[in-house]
Amino acid sequence: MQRRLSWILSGTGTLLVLYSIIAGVWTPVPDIPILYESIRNFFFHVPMWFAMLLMFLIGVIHSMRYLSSGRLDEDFKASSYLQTGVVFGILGLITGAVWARYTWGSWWSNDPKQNASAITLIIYAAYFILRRAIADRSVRGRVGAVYAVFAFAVAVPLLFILPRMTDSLHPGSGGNPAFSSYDLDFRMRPIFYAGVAGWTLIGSWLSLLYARVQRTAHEIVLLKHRLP
Amino acid sequence: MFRGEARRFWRRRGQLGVYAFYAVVLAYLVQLVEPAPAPRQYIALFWISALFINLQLGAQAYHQETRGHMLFYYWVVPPEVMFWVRALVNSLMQALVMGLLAVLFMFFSGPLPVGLWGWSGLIGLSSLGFGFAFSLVSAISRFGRHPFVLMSILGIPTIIPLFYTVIQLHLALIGGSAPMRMWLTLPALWGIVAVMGTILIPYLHRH
Repeated sequence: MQRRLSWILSGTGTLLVLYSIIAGVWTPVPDIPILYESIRNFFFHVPMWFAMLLMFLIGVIHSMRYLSSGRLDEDFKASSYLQTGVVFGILGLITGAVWARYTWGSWWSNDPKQNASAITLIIYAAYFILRRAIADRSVRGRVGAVYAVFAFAVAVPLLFILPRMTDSLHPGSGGNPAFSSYDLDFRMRPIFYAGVAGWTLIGSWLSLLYARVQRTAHEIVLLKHRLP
Repeated sequence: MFRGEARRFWRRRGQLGVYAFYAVVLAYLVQLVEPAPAPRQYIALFWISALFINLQLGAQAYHQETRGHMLFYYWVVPPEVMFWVRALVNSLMQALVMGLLAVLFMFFSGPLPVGLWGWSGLIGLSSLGFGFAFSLVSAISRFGRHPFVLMSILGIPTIIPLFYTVIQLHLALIGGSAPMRMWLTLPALWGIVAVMGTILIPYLHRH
């Protein structure tokens, strides 16, 4: 069952991502001043953020399930999903910096959304430092889960509310119009949605794989303790 | 409970003196670096100084439990009540220290760039947010090997939304007045932290 799920996630994810990459490079795009051809990065940069948020959301759900059930497997999954989310966040920052270089003129413009995303990643980096600082396995899981839920509650206003309070170069913030039917035309939508779904499926596959690695490592430690 | 917690703080008033001394040193250092700061610099320096003092003060909420003290309280009240009491006392102490810091800034760096009422309102609202957030982070970080180091690692990033809102609100006040949605964001963020603390604290005490 687990192996079949792995195949479904990785196979479907790879196909969707390949489609979004190939179609993202070749499909005709609207001619928007300032953006021009760089709008193609929309197919890579924005799906990274969607995938990151979904990984964080799934991670938080597993953290809550760990708090209510105490099953170690939920903790492995929570930390794996959060780790994958951080990787997507770093990729989102890199693709965003490249896009910013060609449209706004510099890699980093201290834009509220850029800063909020970087701070979110720091908040989650602190989660992994916290886990490493606690030796006891069950305490680590419990305290880590509490912090993960708190971090998510802090990250949501940081990413979605605070950037709207000030001027921003990003679409949809500080009075700038968001991508809408005006510039995100019918040819771009399927490619974008395929990218979001594909990267999310690949992220889920990687997370489940890493959770299995963690579980196996834990079982090996337990077996070593049982040996005379 | 509130009175007991306040008394505990009062019994360690020597430690509060340390924070007051810390505030004096910081305000003096700011004056050394920039004798007459522009309003934006004034505000940034004030809040960064306040953040460092509050972080240390906030750590006191739960870190003493690792030394085997204060655990008897949990026989009397549930952990979430204890959290509220500690967070409120912490907020009160932070408001006092920030008030002292404001007086010291007035003494060393000149008059406040924003009216006294606006400044007091901001100190009151932010101390509630800082008090609750740092109390929760203190409760989480005490389980680590180096609680004080962890307090900074976890506390500084998680306080940024509140800190950023306070700074934005303060900068808006320089221009005359701040929009109501900005004033409402601060208690809303405090509300999120308070609700999360109330829900999550019991799980930290579950064995």
